[in-house]
Amino acid sequence: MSNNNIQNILNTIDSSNSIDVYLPDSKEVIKVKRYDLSSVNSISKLINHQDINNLLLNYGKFLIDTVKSKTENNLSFIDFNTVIIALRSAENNVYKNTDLNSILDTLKDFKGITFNSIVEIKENDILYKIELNLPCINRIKDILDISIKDAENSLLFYNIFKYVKNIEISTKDLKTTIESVSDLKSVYNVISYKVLNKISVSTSLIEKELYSLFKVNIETDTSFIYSI
Amino acid sequence: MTSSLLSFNEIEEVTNYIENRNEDEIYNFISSKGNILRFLHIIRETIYNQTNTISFKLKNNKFQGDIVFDKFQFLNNLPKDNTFQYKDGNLLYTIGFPTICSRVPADNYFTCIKSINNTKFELDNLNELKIILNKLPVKMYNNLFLFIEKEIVSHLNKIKIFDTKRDIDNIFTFNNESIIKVLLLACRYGLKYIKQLKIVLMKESNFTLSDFDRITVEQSIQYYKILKDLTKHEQQ
Repeated sequence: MSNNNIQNILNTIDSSNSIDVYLPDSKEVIKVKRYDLSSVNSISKLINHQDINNLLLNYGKFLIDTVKSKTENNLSFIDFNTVIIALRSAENNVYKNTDLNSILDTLKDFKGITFNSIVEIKENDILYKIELNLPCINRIKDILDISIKDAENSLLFYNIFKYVKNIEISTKDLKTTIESVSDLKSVYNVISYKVLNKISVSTSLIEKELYSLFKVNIETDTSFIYSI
Repeated sequence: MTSSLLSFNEIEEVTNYIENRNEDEIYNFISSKGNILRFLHIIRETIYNQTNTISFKLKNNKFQGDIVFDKFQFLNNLPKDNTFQYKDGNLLYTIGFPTICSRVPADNYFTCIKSINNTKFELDNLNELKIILNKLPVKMYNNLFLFIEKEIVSHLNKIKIFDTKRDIDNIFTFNNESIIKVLLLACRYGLKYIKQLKIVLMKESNFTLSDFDRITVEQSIQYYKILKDLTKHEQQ
């Protein structure tokens, strides 16, 4: 058997395995390659060899890598999640009694989600002004990369700080704005649990909104694209 | 001896692998006999080559003891060897009964795929087949293996290793344990006994090593009995 024959079969598979995905945030349609068996095998390896912190961070990275391998666009968070739902739906449109096609239909009328984008927290003489937003895929990747380096202490950082655009820190004499991922990680390492908890109350509200939109905890429910 | 029987030398070879837990060689041997149906057929013909009935020890949660089975009660319900066409999109698969080639169950399942778009897949290019399967969208892969389950595996799972016509039947399940269990029935003599038998026949009857390629263990036992009777007769 020649390599040509194998290549011909692979080309045949390749030519007929794309789906159209409507991106509700950017309001455009993109073509993406369907979710294949090798991806399921990759998750299988992840699930079998990780503690929970590593698993969730690496699962997040897997989702990012999967989507980035199918589109070069720097997708918004809503569009990124939509692609994941669409990939799963093309292979099996029912998940835990939820019809994924109906979610994708609902997303066609997406008008945005609302949340308080500014959180102000005062602790002693320091005022933290935190700006929240929904991250784009490249920003999530950066946050994941830095989190995976120190997985044991970074799952909380990832879960909360992926929604943090910047933090303005003010004291009597000084005011500074922190925006880069590595600087935010440094802030995370030193801020008190009280401040962290207050930020997480706000980010939890964002997650609630996202759940009511997608009906699935896409980033934490590893079975979503594993048990197909 | 016809190739539908396991020879003395083959039984010795496999018993050696079994006693030394050489799994890779066991699976190499099984796969050298063709697909699973051909292999099971060879086992049945070998076991019943010299006799119409054989007593087997049977043990399950309903029964324990010896039962005599004739050839038609052993490995009963073997499905007819057949191939099937399955089409999904632009891919046309030929599906057939698997060849047991590996301790990894998935590999044995993959051998059900005989060709894709007329490109044939054999044991020596199983890795290429795996590359292709890995590229299949999950739904296509799942549907393909649902077809294999329906047309192949469900029929294999209806085979009765021992058909007692009662509710203590030993049902064959398509897995490595069942395959090895059946192989053990054909290789039930023990390496020590086989080697002793071989030495006696070579010494007393001038058998050569290649003669053991042409007889079964059961036949050699018959020769040995005749030899013993003749010796006894001469002494009288």
